[in-house]
Amino acid sequence: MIPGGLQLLYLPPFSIIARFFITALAFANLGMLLLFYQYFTGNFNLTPTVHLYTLGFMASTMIGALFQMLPVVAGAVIENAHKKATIVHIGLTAGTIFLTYGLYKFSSGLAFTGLVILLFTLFYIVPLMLFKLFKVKDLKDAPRGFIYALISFLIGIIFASLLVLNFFGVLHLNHGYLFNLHMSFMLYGWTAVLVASVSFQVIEMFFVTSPYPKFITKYLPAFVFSLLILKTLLPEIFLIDFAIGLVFTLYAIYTITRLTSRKRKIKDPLINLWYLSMAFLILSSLFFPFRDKNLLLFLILFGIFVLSVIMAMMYRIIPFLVWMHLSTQGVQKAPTMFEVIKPKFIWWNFYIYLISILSLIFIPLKIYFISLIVFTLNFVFFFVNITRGVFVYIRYRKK
Amino acid sequence: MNISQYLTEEHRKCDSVYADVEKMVNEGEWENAEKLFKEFKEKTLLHFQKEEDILFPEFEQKTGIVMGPTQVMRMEHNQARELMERMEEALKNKNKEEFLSLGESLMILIQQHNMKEEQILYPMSDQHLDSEEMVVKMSELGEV
Ligand code: HEM
Ligand SMILES: [Fe+2]
Ligand SMILES: [Fe+2]
Repeated sequence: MIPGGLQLLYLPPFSIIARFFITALAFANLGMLLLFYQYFTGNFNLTPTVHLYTLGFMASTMIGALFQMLPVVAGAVIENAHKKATIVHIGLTAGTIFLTYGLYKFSSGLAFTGLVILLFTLFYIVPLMLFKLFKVKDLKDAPRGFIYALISFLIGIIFASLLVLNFFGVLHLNHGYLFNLHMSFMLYGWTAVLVASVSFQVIEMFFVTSPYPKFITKYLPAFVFSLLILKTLLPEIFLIDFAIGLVFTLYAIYTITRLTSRKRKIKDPLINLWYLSMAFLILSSLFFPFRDKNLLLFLILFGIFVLSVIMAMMYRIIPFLVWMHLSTQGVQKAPTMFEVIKPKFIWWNFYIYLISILSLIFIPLKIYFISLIVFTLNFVFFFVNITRGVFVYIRYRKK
Repeated sequence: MNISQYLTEEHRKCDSVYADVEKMVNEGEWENAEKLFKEFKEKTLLHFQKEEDILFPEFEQKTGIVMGPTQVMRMEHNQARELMERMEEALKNKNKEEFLSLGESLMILIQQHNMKEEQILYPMSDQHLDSEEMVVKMSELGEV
């Protein structure tokens, strides 16, 4: 008897994660271009801009990371991962471009094309990942969290499809209801629960901290998911949003206390990114129930939470995997992590990022142009650093 | 105590010693760092030995899986050994940057390695092997 779960001890090919991450960063930069364009033309169109980030940047990163993490963290193997990842990568990229462009141009043809591509792609890979997770016996808390996140993602996509049909007047459903549920399932059910679940596993291990309390790792994903389901039934109840916000505030506080009492005391820009991320998770979560007052502000707060944690993750994963893959392929004295991406550059990126955030706070809205410039610098630098890391791998491979 | 608990505890102990080494290197206390690193290396190698000499052969015999996970685990042990050699070198040369860089790779290598052992290999071992007997045998090699 050879349990299928054992192949997973092998490393998924590097090109999978490299492609998803580089594409994600390309989308982040494309988003900046769109923002500049809208600045000059003077008509701001929220939804396509938001989705270049939530689908193009975030979903690419998260799905790429899941391909890498399912085997290691959960013990769930995806056979033929390379081929499946290629299909998903192409589908997600093309679908996002069509959808956002269609929404931007108010072209139902383009948007529906994008939607259909996304539906095929995501309803192919997400259930597949879920199926692999369900097959694992004795799931730990982190991968159980992945299950709730992935189910929320599917539910969020269903609401999204109805929203698109509504948007082009094919359906006439209650817009506010769909809109709020789509947003809640996507931002908290999918994104925040996935981030939390990953952190249950990696914070303790990478920074040598005490573990999260069991009641958080065990119940947070299921609790948040139940609140969201409750919200579909009782959309008017303000208390539910409040409860979701409090759960994540509590989680963020626990993360911060874990990090402040960590055993690895060394200075590390990635720790700062985690702190920043958690601070903005708290701000956005507390503001979540009041988001109608200023939706854009809420989205920016939440966005900084996600961007910070993605920066922390990519800057660790890419150098590690480059070293790991090269070393596994027998390269003598494979370049170490600091040689793949110099810590100096990560620090610079961190400071540019801090300045971009400060510029958002202190620069008056009228000249938000300046914030756009600093944020663009941030994303370009981020893109260049990660891409150069990937090229270190390619260079050594060729030798 | 079963295999999972016994070996998982050893993982945590090694992590904790490494955190101290790193702190000393960072503060430039080279002598202490060298001493403590030696301890870390010994503990880690002893842990590897318990797995490679006792747990893995028994696992392979009882489950009939020879070319699979235990092979990957052995390879990762070798990668860790190589890194520790290079770290020792860096310590001798008082090369902080090099040491910390290698250390970061080692840390993540070991963490993802441990994750796989703790999630998959140890629970399977507890399921298929005589846990008590294994723990006794491993303890005979010494304490981490
Ligand atoms: C299948 C993919 C998706 C489609 C087709 C889609 C579609 C839509 C549409 C049509 C709207 C707004 C409609 C309106 O104002 O009438 C919307 C709003 C929103 N969506 Fe999505 N969405 C998708 C995925 C996501 C994901 C993955 C996230 C977050 C992780 C997300 C976050 C949001 C947010 C925050 C809003 C509110 C702000 C805005 O209007 O842009 N969406 N989505
Ligand atoms: Fe091991
Ligand atoms: Fe081990």
